Amino acid sequence: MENTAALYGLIEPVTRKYFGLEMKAKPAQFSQIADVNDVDEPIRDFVEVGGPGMLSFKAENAAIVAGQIKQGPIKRVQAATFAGAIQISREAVKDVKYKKVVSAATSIGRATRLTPEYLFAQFLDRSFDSNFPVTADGVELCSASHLLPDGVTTVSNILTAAALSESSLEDMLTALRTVPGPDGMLSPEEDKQLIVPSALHNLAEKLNRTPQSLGSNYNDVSVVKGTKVMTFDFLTNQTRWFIQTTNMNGIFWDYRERPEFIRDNVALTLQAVFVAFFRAMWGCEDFRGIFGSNAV
Amino acid sequence: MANARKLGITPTRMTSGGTITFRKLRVLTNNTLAINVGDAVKATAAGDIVACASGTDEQLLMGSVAQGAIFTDSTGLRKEAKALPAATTYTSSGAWPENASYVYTVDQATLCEFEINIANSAVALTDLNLNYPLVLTASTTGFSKHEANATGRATTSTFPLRLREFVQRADNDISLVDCKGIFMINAGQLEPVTSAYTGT
Repeated sequence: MENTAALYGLIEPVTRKYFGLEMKAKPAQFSQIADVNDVDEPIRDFVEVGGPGMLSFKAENAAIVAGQIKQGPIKRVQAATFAGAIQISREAVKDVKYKKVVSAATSIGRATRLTPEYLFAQFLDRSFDSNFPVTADGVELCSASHLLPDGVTTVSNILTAAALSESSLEDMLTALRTVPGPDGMLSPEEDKQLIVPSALHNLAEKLNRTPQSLGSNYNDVSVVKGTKVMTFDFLTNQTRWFIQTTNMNGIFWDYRERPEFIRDNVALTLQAVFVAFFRAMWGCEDFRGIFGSNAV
Repeated sequence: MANARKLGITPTRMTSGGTITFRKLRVLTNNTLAINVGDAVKATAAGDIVACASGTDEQLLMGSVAQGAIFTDSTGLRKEAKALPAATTYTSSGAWPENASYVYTVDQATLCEFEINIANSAVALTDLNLNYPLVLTASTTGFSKHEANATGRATTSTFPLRLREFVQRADNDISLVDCKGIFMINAGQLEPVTSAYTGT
């Protein structure tokens, strides 16, 4: 081993293998909610454009009443870098402490795999916090005050403080159908999945599976049976729940650079250094992509 | 979400770049306190180091942070471990005997940035760049229980720590108690440039 470069040659296959194995150890949960993309730009801009609204009656030979297309506020999100590193000494390699090397590579693989989950959970945990505006209209993800491009009309995508139950889920599914689009005209949404924290998993599954109303003596039919359940175990808040809609422009997670595991260089330490990192940005273009209940 | 209280001092990066390196320093026989991984340590007038102890050490200079130990155990076995147990004894003479207890400490400690839990109250933006005392709870687990103390911060210019930055991570809520901060040594002992330790 004539220099540190040779050290990398000895252990890089090992670190790379175990980093990769750990990265694939379990499927990501957040990617079952967010629309995950690979992008070329480190920024993403989005804006709602509304109008012209309903078409007007035009009498014969009369001029058309042209409505106006209105542009709402613009939101920009920027990719952020998240990184960690491991240092492996020449001594450890020469002493054939491969278990230590494997353990280090596995640990950083696990960190790299789980960090997006925690970041995305934090994003959803802040859904009702006005300190964290997410959508282009400058309010939090789930708000009763989403603003349409007309600058006047407010729209809600919350069900205030209703604990998950058959009736609250019914109410939520009804609420989806009453939401207006950017032009103010109705834009009914349909549910894609019910997102719940770990504590609500069992109840959500019961609601999903039972063909009859829970706890009812009258053989009432459950209309929420079959609502797909997505249990997001990384959520901190254990009482809030969400309905993700089939809206195509809802919650996104854009990777500017997918998780990578690369060498780095250090001088005069007889160490091999490996760096794991990713660059990503996330957010919600259209608040109609998710409805939430701020249950406590 | 509430922050998990994470104890012990963790070296995170060198402010000058590069990797964190370590220096071996001697501990005298029959050390009173265990020196755990993540413990603040200080130099004594005898040239050895000891773990910083609760009491006056919380508001005085700190030397570095322990990150491992090498010592001879009670059966005579020479071992490397994450912590040096209390009352580890050896018999030898000279300045740097082979069978003595040594602790690996963070080198260039005043250029190292440490992640430390901030105990007792939440931080605000105005708490940045202030001096902080330590909370030096003793530990017998091998893992340090040292942390920074929000109580009484910025009252003495020679407090051991200075808060430089908040840790920006999904598991750290900066607005709540037990926020993690990036600290540098404010008044150190072992580095020549910023030494305030006279050795007398």
